[in-house]
Amino acid sequence: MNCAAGLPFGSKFGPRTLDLKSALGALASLTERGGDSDSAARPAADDQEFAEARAAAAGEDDAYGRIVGRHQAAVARQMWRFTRDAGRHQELVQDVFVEAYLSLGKYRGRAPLEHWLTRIATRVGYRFWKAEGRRRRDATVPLSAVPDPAAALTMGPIQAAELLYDLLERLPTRDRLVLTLLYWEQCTVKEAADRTGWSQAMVKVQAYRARKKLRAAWDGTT
Amino acid sequence: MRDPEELLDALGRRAAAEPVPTVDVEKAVLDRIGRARVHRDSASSVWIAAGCCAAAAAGTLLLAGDGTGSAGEPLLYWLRQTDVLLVTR
Repeated sequence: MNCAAGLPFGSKFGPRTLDLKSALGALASLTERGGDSDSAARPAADDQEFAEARAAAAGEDDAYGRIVGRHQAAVARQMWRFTRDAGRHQELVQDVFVEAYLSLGKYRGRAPLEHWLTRIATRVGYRFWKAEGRRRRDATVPLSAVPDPAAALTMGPIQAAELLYDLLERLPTRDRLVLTLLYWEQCTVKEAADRTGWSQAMVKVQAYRARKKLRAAWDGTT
Repeated sequence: MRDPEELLDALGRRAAAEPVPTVDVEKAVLDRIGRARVHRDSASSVWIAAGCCAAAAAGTLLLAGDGTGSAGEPLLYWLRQTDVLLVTR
């Protein structure tokens, strides 16, 4: 679930246009569901999806099955940033949907379900990294062998992803999370703050410190 | 000194196009939810019993409503979530 694709407002790739009908629909949904100051900045869930979430919360498994089916590819994309192991990846995707199910009673439809799932997925991934702790695999690429940015732009996507994962894995969990969101998920600061529940200032400070640590590590290798 | 920002940006842009393993977790998720539900229902009776004991000790009578507790959660949290009436004796 790429930030640029997942969050239509405030994206650094520019805002999407909304037609008048959907804008009015979103506004009406906000009013009905008592949107708060945070929710006013983004569209609400569409009515069908909100109804489906209510049905799932009431115990209708078919409704939740449809929700899982619709969102599992996006959640899988997001969770692939948190592990490179296919088995663990499957488990993490399941964890997100189980946790979401247990929290469905708190879902008010103030944001699309996709955004809500994105925040849960970030939490699940962060907890996974914390639990993983010292069991992390050893870094496979020495920092002295990391290419310069121009060369990185010519790498294949899988190779670049492996290298990025390897680099960020050396950092403490919070640093790793903020850089993953900003550079891999390509979130804006606002989007990263929304996903983590941190303030925007905290996201900026954390990212600054994380980059400083990477730079210090590189300097130590030269 | 390398510039991490530039490198991270370049790697991130390339890595974003990486193919992701496909998953089909619908059945597994519904199975896990079903198991959690059974666990939660049996845990509810434990919480109700514990709540009644605590209330009796504190000199109050506790009437539980829909009996939907959640496994592993502290009693006070459960009390807040459930339709519970506390009547002072």
